[in-house]
Amino acid sequence: MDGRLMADLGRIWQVSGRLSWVEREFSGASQFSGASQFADGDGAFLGSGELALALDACVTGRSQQRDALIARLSSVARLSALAASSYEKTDAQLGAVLAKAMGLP
Amino acid sequence: MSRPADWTPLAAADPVPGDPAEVARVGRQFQQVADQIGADVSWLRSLCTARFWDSGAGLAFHQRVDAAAAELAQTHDRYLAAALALGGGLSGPGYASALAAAQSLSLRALAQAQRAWPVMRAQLAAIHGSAPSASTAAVTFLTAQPRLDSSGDPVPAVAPAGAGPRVRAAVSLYNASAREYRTANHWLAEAIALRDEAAARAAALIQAAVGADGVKEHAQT
Repeated sequence: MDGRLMADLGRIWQVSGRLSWVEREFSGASQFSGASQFADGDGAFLGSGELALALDACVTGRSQQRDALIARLSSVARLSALAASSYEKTDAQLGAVLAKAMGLP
Repeated sequence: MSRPADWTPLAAADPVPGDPAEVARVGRQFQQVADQIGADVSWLRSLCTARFWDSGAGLAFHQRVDAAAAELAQTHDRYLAAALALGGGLSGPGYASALAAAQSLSLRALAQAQRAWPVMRAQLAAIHGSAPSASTAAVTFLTAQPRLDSSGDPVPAVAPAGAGPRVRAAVSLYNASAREYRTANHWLAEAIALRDEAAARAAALIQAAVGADGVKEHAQT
């Protein structure tokens, strides 16, 4: 560490909340995450089996990469929450120590 | 918009099925998801600055955020490709508008074919009814069906040698309606081709985005 410490705690807290939508999208909570939702009959409105298969590949394919992305997003969200709470805890402890040293109530 | 259930005499079932309005709605949803992911990517990348978090921990965090943003950006491209491929309205580029145009043409074809077909049958019955073999004329009258070639186009009628003016007139009327039916059949083929080409274009656009987005799922398994 070069002696500087600057962190926007407000924005660090925001990270986990902001990423929750993206996590939901890739975890299966949204309208485009069901397995084979287009090719299995629900895609009849498309009028093309070829297009339904392509959309399925687009949305539900690559599940391993999707899972990896979800894990990465969760990790970032968890890290940000942990970092923000740790900073706040450290700041509170430092404040308490200084207050005690200065004889403040 | 609901489609006719009866596609005779042109086809046994709707040859251009689908719901263009629903396609456009899903296209707009893909666009919304792409926009949201794009905004998230931008926001994540805005975190990777020293103004936000300048420390050793901040640097490590930036690396994680950068990697997540890069993966999200790839996903954004896939959703955007799906949105562009489907289209968001019944006019302009995209599959939705092409499907709407194809369905409209197929309806025009059906209307013309359904106008021409009864005329063809009636004239055919008139031709057969005037035939010399009167013993089978009544049966032929009820069952006569225009002959279609392998493309579904009506085979033109030819007046037999020595036919009277009534038969010649019926043949002439039959062939006029047959030409209308043939045009309708070609419109339908055009509508199907329009739909197929648009679907293939849309699928290729999506597949290109999926293929460009790292290693394909199928290649892993």
